[in-house]
Amino acid sequence: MSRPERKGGLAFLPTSINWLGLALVVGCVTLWEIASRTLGSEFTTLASLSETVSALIQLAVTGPLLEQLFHTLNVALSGWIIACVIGLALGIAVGMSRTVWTYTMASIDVLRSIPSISLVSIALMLFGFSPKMEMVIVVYVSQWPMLLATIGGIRATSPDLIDVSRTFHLSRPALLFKIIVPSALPNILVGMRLSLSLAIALAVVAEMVGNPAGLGFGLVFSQQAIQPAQAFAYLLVIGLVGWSLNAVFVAVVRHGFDGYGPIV
Amino acid sequence: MTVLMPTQKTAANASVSTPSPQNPLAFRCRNLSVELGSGTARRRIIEGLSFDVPKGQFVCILGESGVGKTTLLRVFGGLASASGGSIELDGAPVIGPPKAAVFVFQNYAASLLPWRTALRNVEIGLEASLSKAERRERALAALRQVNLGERVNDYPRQMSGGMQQRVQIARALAVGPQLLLMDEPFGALDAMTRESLQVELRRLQKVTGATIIFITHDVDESVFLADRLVVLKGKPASIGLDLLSSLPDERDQIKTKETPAYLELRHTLYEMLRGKGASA
Amino acid sequence: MTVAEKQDRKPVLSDTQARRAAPLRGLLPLVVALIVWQMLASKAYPYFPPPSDWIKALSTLAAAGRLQPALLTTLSSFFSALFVCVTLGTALGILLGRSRSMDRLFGPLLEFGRTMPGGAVIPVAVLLMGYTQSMTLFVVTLTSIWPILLNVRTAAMRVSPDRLDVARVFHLRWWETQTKVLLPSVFPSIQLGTQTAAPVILIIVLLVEILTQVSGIGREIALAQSTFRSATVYGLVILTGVLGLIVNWSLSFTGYLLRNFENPAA
Repeated sequence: MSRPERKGGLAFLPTSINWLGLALVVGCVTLWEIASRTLGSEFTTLASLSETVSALIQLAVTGPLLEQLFHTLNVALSGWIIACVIGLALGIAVGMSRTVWTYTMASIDVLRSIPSISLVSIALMLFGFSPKMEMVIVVYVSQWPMLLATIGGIRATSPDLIDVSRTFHLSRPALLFKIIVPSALPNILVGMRLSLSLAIALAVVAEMVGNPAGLGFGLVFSQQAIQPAQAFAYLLVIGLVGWSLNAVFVAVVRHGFDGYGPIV
Repeated sequence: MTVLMPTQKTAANASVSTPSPQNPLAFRCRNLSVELGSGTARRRIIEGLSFDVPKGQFVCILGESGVGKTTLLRVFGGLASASGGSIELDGAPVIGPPKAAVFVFQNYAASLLPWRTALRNVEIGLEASLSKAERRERALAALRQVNLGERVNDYPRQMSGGMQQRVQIARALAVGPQLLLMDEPFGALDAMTRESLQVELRRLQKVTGATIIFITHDVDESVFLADRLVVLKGKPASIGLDLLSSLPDERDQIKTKETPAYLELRHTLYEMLRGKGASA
Repeated sequence: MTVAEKQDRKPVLSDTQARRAAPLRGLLPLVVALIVWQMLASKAYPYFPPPSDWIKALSTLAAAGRLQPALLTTLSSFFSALFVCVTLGTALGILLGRSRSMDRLFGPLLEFGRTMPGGAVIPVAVLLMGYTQSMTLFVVTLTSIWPILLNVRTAAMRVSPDRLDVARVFHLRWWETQTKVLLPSVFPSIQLGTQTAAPVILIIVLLVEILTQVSGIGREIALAQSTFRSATVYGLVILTGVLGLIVNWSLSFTGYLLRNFENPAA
């Protein structure tokens, strides 16, 4: 995405505020409020901004919102970390060995083509409505982008760098950790970011369909109870979770990996 | 088959062509043949090549683009395998990259690690064998040798092409190799940088006593640099010309290039490349 | 002494080789796993029926006349959503890529929409629009359009000024410039974005069907799962897997064709 150049060490602060975009957001929000007030009688399921905000506050203070938020964050983040570790380890195993790649890559392609949502049904059947089901789904589905990105990054290592490792007689572990992994790092970081988005999305979906806990459950519950203000509130919170985790990841990567040039 | 054409040479150079106790053989290959490609596209690139290099000699292998110079050098360096014949470095057969040789690549940008500083790049060959302090010492010394003492903590992207190539040379020198294999290292640089690096390379070779096999398609470069000139020619390629340079050790980019000896060598080489000289 | 014939043991391939499809031998682990599963499955593991049962369950479903309508519904949702995503995504991508003010205007909304976890929109959409085809289309588009939009946007931003100058020199009208210069230039990014978006479209279509349980393969899966007919669930999951594979392969293939069209020498 195009961003204004960040100068100096203030990588976290924007160098200019996007007034235009901000204006549109304010405009849309205002429109939303006006529309829901004037059309309110026709669209009973449209909640206004003010209703959404008050529902949000009520849910947070007296309701289960905060526990649900904590639950979803917990599952999404821990599942993501596990998925990254698994994806990285397996990715290295497959990427580094031509034999392993030849005899597994087609299977990997097939498995990852199975829509993740179908697997939710299998998980539901095997693990029932439980936290285990949610975790299994999050880990299984989120490790695919990580696995594929690692394999891709490793296999795209420049042959010149491989030649360098050979002429300087680097051991295989040295080759892996000093040359191949750093070279594949941009790919791996993109994989981690995709993995994170998937982890959050799948946690929410698993909660909507399976494990009666977390933000996803809250959302579905309010929809079925026909509480539009609450449903909107949950949607807002979920959207903010997705947006902020993504923003934090990108900021951390940009700040931490200055030497590589543009990555995420 | 090797064709040795005696030319005017100074007494100092005369002893360099044949091995002796003072100049043992660094490198030798016998009846080397190299094939590339697979299946129906397999072609013999190099045929029946035999070649001896005494220690401390600076050999330039000259040839037109596509003749197989890089392939040959890669085979010498153990980065590619030959289909026949034998290669020995310091008496031991070459199977895979030999410990005593280092390859210097043409594409310096692609062979330096962009995430490491110049210093850390130079250290890469030393990390397996030396302690941190010793590594640092050696790497710093190597960088100073190529006049990059001020830039040790810069990243490759912060350096010019000429500097990056010097980092690569420092990296090669740091491991103290017996044999340096250089694949058109100055090919991607501008003329002025190339000329100053050529002078520097000759100086480094004299100081370190390294044996260098340097390939290029640039006749002037080869005449300026080499103690010995070899022309690779033909399909499949073999040695078309192998002679010792008649130029003195001290060489200058301006004065040397005006001497009759230089012009004569240059003429001979051009004729060989154009196909009018004697060939095996 | 001869030089040993040593195969280059490089673990990597050149970029073009890396993109080549994986050899079919790689299916071995899956085939072996299925065979082992078939042999070990028994009544003791009701949730792990043998693969043969899956096929039986699917044919039962087909015989009952439930499979084809469901498949048709899912496929029609998929293709209509694909069409909308590609056309809208391309149009918006070009708009945002070529107009800096538009881009800044919609910037924050783009960021928020792109990171929104896909499934969360569904319950709210159901509240607002009910269980309708348009609701499905709306939800799927909202969640899956991003890869296409963003890829096209980037490509549109990077169209070489020289090409646009050519259009000006030949006095092409605005519409002609769009269709004859701009669109072909961003075509690879459309393909790339669609390759990423299509699997997401399939997933969201199925998700909507599972959640709303009105029609489609998703509904059949949810029904089978809630009545613990495990063989049917596995069979349907494999069916969706086959759909996913067809989608992935056909898009990879178009990518391959496109690359060869642009660089016939490669």
